[in-house]
Amino acid sequence: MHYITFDKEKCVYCEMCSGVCSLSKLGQIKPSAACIKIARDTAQSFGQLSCAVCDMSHERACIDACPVEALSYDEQTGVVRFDAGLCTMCESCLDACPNVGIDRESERIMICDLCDGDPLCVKWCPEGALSWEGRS
Amino acid sequence: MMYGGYTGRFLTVDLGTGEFGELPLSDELAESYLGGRGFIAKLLYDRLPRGIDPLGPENEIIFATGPATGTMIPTASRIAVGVKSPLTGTISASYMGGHFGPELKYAGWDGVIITGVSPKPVMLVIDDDKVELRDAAALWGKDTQTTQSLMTEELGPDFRTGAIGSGGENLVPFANFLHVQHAAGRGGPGAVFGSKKLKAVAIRGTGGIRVAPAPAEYIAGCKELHDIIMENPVRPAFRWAGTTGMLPVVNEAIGLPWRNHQDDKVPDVSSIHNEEIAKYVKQYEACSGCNVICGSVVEFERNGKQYRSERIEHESVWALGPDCDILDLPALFEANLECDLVGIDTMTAGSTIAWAMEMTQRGLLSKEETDGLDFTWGNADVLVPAIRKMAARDGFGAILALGSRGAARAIGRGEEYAMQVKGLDMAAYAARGFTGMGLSYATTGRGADHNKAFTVAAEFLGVLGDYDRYTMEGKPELVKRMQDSTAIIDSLIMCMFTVDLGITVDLYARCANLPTGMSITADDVYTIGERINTVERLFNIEEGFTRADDTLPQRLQKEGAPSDPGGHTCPVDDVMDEYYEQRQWDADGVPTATLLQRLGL
Repeated sequence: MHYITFDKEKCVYCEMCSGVCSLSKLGQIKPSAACIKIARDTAQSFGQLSCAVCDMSHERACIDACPVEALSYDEQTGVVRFDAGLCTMCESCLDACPNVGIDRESERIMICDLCDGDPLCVKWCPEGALSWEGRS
Repeated sequence: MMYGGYTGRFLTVDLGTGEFGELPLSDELAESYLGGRGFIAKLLYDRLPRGIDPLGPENEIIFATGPATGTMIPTASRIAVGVKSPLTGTISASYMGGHFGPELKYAGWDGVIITGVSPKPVMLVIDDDKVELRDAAALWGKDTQTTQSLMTEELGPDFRTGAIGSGGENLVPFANFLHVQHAAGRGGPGAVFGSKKLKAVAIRGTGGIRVAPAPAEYIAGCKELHDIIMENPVRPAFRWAGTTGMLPVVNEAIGLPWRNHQDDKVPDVSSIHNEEIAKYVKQYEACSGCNVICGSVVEFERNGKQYRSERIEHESVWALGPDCDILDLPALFEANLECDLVGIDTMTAGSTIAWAMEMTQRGLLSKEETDGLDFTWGNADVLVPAIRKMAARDGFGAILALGSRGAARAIGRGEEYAMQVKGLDMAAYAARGFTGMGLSYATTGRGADHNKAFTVAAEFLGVLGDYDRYTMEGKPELVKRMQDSTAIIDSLIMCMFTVDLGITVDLYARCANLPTGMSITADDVYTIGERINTVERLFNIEEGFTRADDTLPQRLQKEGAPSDPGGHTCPVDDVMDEYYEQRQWDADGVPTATLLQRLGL
């Protein structure tokens, strides 16, 4: 099983990851709706950076929270799939996991699908803060 | 709006009535002026009555992004802030990086036009389509960084913030507007904010930007541009040292002004060398969508106090440092941070202090006149008190707060030692060592700005040709051409560093075409740039500027730098006719009818 890892010491807050992710998934550059988002701790000046992206390692709380099976686990690729036809936009998945995103304009739940095995965010990160690792 | 990359509209804000509106962006405006600086030139020229007081109610503040802003075109994070400058009386656009510009686009706006005067201090909050003016009484009087922290507390961490400090509130004509510690910068936009009682601006954008091509095609096109920068051999120097990497190199080449431009070489820069600066760096910082990554955060101690700040930039370290013969790095970090806190331009502040130091050296300024402040060369301890007095317009600070030329005029002596053009103080590249820079300082619309034709690239770095640094020969053509191409960088809006990182004029055309779907050629880049420069010229001519204003201080035209064995000067007056001919301006510097017709003006 693969997942995106984040090195907070290397991230420089260019947000290229959320730009390219949103363009690829939604057809527009829209960082707020990307599957990967970088946030800054604003309590300190130039505070710690953190990354919200599906880490594929948890209990898949998003799937459990979905009342209509719009989210499902793809055994073959190890990612969560979203079916827009079934989704009622109840947003229960958003409450269940901080790494779930949403694009209200297109009514899509945004969860990292690893770009079918070639994650763009990793490719675009200029500092190597994102990498793409396997986990047994 | 038929083109990609734009949102297609400007937000209008009337601070007097509290009314908001929308101004649609026409295809024609986009085609003729592209964005950023181009939009500001056209809008301010068309909208502002002539002869207004820059700090009066009729001046406007225009935030403008470009078609590339926030679209993953490398370095396109920047936003321009345009006003009629209270320092120079010219049209002026200042730029800042960070995340402010892209956020405005994501909120659905290409720019914001702010008019009128608020009766009380306010903060403008742009939350996508929801716009409001909030009471800012609690923010008034606070420094720029405290203000932004309080804004984040009030609005939440998702908002991008920007604010003026006491400098802007007190109408210091070189006060700026800061987003985090990114400053829009020179020419005094902060004072115009202050005059309008607009303390701060917050933006949250949750929308997206659409580009012309299909996503996969666009991503591939952008990746090519990013790779050009990543693979450029100069990129690691920017990544490591930011702009300060230039300092020792330029000094060694006798091109770094010292002691208010009395010489062009500092005896020893080892204490402020970029390798010294790097020792304080704690983390690196990028602007949105940038892979150059020239920013960093430093931690330092001075007089027992601990500080955390953005690293000082080349121009700031020079103006507060060698220009004042101050080579104490923590003192320069501290002075730089103090300028950012009170929200005044580090370059004009440093250059004006350097003027006071030369006046002191020559016995033209006494300690009685300076409220006891000791403006002896190298006195690091005068920096912070002088900066605070300037921002507060307190005592002698009120004189210094006019900039070097204004200060000289206020006390009635020493204008020949004011190292400025049109009231804007000069930068860290010696005019006598790089004559193209001198001609650019002399002819740039808002005065001695180093970023409107960075000819050092062609005269010294070997990036855009191989010009003799010292001769005036060929410089009118070079300066004109680079002023025009730079206007496009400022309109897209990309970062000036891309000039040194392999982005050529045909690639700027590509950076415009990729998101928009336009088909601009390299020739069009020059034509649009020429149009922007010409409109800015028309603005200034109609404000009463003449050929007499396109000059350099006599020191630089007549006396060689003592360290320069060749004794070179920068006699820009001698080539002004040729420069005007290149520009198709008449002998008085007025754009000719032929030029206006060719540019469709």
